[in-house]
Amino acid sequence: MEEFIARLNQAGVRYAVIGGQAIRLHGMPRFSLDWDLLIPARDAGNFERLNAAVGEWLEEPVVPLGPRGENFVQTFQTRFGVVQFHLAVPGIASFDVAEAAAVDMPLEAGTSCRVLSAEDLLQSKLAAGRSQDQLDVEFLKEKRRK
Amino acid sequence: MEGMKAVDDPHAKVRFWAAAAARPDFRPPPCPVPENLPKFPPQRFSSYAEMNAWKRRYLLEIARQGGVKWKSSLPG
Repeated sequence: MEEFIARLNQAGVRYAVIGGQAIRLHGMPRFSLDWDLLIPARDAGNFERLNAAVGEWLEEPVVPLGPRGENFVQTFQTRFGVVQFHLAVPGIASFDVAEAAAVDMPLEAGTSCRVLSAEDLLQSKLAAGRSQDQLDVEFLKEKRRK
Repeated sequence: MEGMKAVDDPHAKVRFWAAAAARPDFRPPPCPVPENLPKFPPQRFSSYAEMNAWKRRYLLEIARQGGVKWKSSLPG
């Protein structure tokens, strides 16, 4: 996955890792089947850069959010595993705000990765209100106290 | 609670992880990478309900094939 993230970085793609991998990068040991990336919903230039950078690993291009919410999550099987692009996330007012608060974190081999802030992750988990996120929420609240 | 060991406290691990993440030498815990995932074409969803329904079907497919193998995400 480092190669995938490195390509995004080199191309100047706007993204922030969310979901299970983001929680793990913030410090909670955790399994995840996929990588979830939040991207701006209608930034044409960003879609262009994204598809140019990693399109060869996706069977189809990632497309903007439709007028009735179509395509708000797009899931691809890649040689790096399952990658999901989210064009909106509950609890996050806008990509621009989340991007400003996002943090750069190193992956296992040292590639820098843009990750949603712990506070925004917490807000997204609280807004989703899923019982399976209980431990994630507890960890993020504990992290907030540190 | 008195007489309680840390291992008996279900919240102890959360405190431990959060404390470890606050240290300057913190490195994220590795995440095993799933191998032999069942193949699927690109999916586009308009709602979480749609996405979760697909995910449930996909997890059942994984279960039917006997689960997935995991490999280390650590370099080398």
